[in-house]
Amino acid sequence: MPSPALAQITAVFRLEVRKSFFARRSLWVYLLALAPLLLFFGYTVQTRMESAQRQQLAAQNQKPLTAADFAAIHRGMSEAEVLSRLGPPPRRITFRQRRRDTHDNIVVDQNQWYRYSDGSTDYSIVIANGTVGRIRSNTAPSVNDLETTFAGIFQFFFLRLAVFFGCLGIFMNLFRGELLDKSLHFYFLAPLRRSRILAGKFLAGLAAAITIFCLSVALQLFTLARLTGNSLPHAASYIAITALACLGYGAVFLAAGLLFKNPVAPAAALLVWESLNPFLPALLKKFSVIYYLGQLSPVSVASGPGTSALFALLVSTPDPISPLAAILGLILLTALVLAYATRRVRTLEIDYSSE
Amino acid sequence: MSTATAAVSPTVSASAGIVFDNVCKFYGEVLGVNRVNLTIPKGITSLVGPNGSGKTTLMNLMTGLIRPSRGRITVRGIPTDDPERLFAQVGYCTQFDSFPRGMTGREFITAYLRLFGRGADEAARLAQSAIDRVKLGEAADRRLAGYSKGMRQRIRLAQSLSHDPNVIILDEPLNGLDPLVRAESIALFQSLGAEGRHVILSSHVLHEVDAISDQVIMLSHGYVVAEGKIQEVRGEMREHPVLIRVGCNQPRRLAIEVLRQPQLLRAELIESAPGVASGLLVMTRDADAFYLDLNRIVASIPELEVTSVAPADDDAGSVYDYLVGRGQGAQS
Repeated sequence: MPSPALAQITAVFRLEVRKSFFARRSLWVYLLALAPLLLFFGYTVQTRMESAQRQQLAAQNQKPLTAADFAAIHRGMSEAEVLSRLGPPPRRITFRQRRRDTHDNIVVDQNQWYRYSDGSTDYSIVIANGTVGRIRSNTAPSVNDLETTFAGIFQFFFLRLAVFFGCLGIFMNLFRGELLDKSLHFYFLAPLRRSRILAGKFLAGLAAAITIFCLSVALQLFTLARLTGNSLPHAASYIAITALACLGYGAVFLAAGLLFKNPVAPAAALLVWESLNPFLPALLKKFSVIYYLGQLSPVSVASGPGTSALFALLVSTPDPISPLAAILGLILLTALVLAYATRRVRTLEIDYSSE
Repeated sequence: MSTATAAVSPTVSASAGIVFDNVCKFYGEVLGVNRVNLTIPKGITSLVGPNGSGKTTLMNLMTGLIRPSRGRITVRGIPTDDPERLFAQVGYCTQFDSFPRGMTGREFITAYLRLFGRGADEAARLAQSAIDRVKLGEAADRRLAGYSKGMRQRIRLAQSLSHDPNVIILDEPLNGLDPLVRAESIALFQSLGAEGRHVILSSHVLHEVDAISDQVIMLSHGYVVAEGKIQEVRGEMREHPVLIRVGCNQPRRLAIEVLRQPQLLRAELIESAPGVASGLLVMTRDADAFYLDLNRIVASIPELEVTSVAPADDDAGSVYDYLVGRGQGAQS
C-alpha cells in the first residue's frame, strides 16, 4: 500500500505523462530529437555509398595501388608518367576549359580528370595540357573522426539546441500550458500539496524528455556503430549526459514556466547565458547547466591543431572538475531551482483572465 | 444579519463556518472585493449580484485559488492556504469551462478522486455515485469534448460532490441547464443544505436563488451590501416604503378604510380582469402598523373577507435594487 504522498504524486504523474508525450504543443520536440538521427542516418547512407564506390574503383585498377603510389604523383608530372605509375584510371572524364592567354586571346584547353581509389581514399588528378595540374584526395572518415564529429554534434546541436528547446517545450508547458488551457484548477481543487503537483508534473516531464532524447542518442549511436562496424565507446556516458541535461534544463524551464507568461524571452536569455558560460566569472559559471555537462563530455572536440581560438574558448573547460563533482553540482543546481519553483507554485493564483 | 458592510458578529463558531475577516482582494489596481467581514453558516447561502460584483472572487478566495491582498479566510477553521485539509472538506464547482484533454466524464471524476490518494476501485465507486447523483450516467463514458454546456455543468457538479464534502461551493451552477435539470439541481442543493452542509452558490438570477436560499449575501462592486435572510434584510430597510398585496372580496371598501392610516402612502386596486378588482396593493412606511390596522378593519367589517396578505417587494431582486440604489431590477 503506497503512502498517500506517493499515491498522489503517482496520480499526477499518470495524468501528466500522457500529456507530455502526446501534447500537440510538444510535437516539435520529436522533430528536434529526430533531427540528429536523420542527420546521422543520411551521413551513414552517404558514407556507405562512397565506400562502395571506392571499393568498386579500387577493384577496377589495373594493379593494386597504395597510398605511397599516389604520394609519388605531383604537380607538373606528365600524363605518361602518371599512367605508367598508376595505370589507366578506372574513371576518366575529358573536359574543355576556356581561359585567356597572356595576349588576352581565348584558349581552349583539353583536360582530363582521372579518378583512382586505393579502397579507403579517393584521388582526383586533373591533367591539363598533358601535365598534372591538380591533385585532390578524399579519405573515408576514421573511427576517431566519427567520434569527434559525433561529440561536436552532440555538444553543439544536441545538448545546446535540441535538448534545450525540447525541454523548453515539455517543461514550460507543465504549468504554463495548463494556465493557457484554463485547466490548472483541476489540480488546485484537490487535497494535495502543491509541491506534490509539482513533483508529479516534473517527473512526468522528465520521463518524457529522457525517453525521447536518450532514445534519440541511443539510435544515433546505433546508426554510427553500423557505419563504423564497431560500437562507439562512451555510449553510456552520452546517454547519461543526455539524461542529466534533461534533469537540469527540465528544472530550469519548469521554474521559468511559473515565472514567465511568454517562453520566448526566458528561452532567449537562458540560451545567451548558457552560450556565454565560458566568459563568465568562476562563481557564475556554476549557475549554468552546460557548465556541468561540458565537464562530463567524454570526447574533446577542440583538440585539433586547426581549431579556431574562439571555438576552442567556447568549448574549453577552464575550471575542470571531476565527473562526480559535475554530477553532484548539476543535481544541486536542479534541487535549488526546484525548491524555488515549489515556493512559487505554493503562492500561484488561478487568474485565467490575465493569461 | 446586517445591511451594512461593517463587521458582522459571527453567529456561528469560527470552526463551524466560513469566516472572512476584513478581507480585501485587489487585482493590481482593480478592486475585487473590499473589507469583507462575513460568517457563513450551514445551509444554503446565495451570493447575489450582477456580473462583476465580486461573487466569483469571494468563491475563489474561500477555495484558495486566489489569495487575499489583506485579511484572513478560514473554512471550518482551516486556512485556505492548506489545500490538503481544505479540499478534504470542500468541493468547488467552478465556472471555468475547461477540462483536461481527451478525458471522458467518468475518467475526469475518477482522475480527480485519484488525486486524493484513493485506490482505483474506491475512486471508480465514488465516481459512479457522483455521476448517478447528477443523472449523467448515459453520457459518463463519452468524451468531455462532446458534452453540451449543460452536461459540462453537471459533470463539474459531480466532481465537486464526488468526495462527499461538507462545504459545497457552486459558481453559477444553474447556468446552461434546461428547466427539468434545473429543477433537479435545485432539489439536490436543497437536500445537501438539509443534510447540514454548507452550500454556497452564486447567481445573478435573483428570483432563482430567492426561493431556495436560507440566507443571501448581496454584493455590489466588490462590497457586501447586505447579508442575512431576505425578508429580514428587507425588514431593516426602514427608509424604503413596504409594498403589501392584500387579496379580498371588497377591495374598494378596504381601500377607503386603509387610506385613513397616516403611515399609508398609496393604495392601488389590483384588477384580475378589466373593471374587476380582486385585491389591493398598498405602500406603507410601517408594515407592522398596517397589519395591526388591517386586523382591526377586518374585525369591524364582517362582510369583508381577506383571502391573502403578502409582502410584494421582499424578493431578492427588489431588495438588491433598494440596496444598490438603482431604479431597475438586477438581472432577472
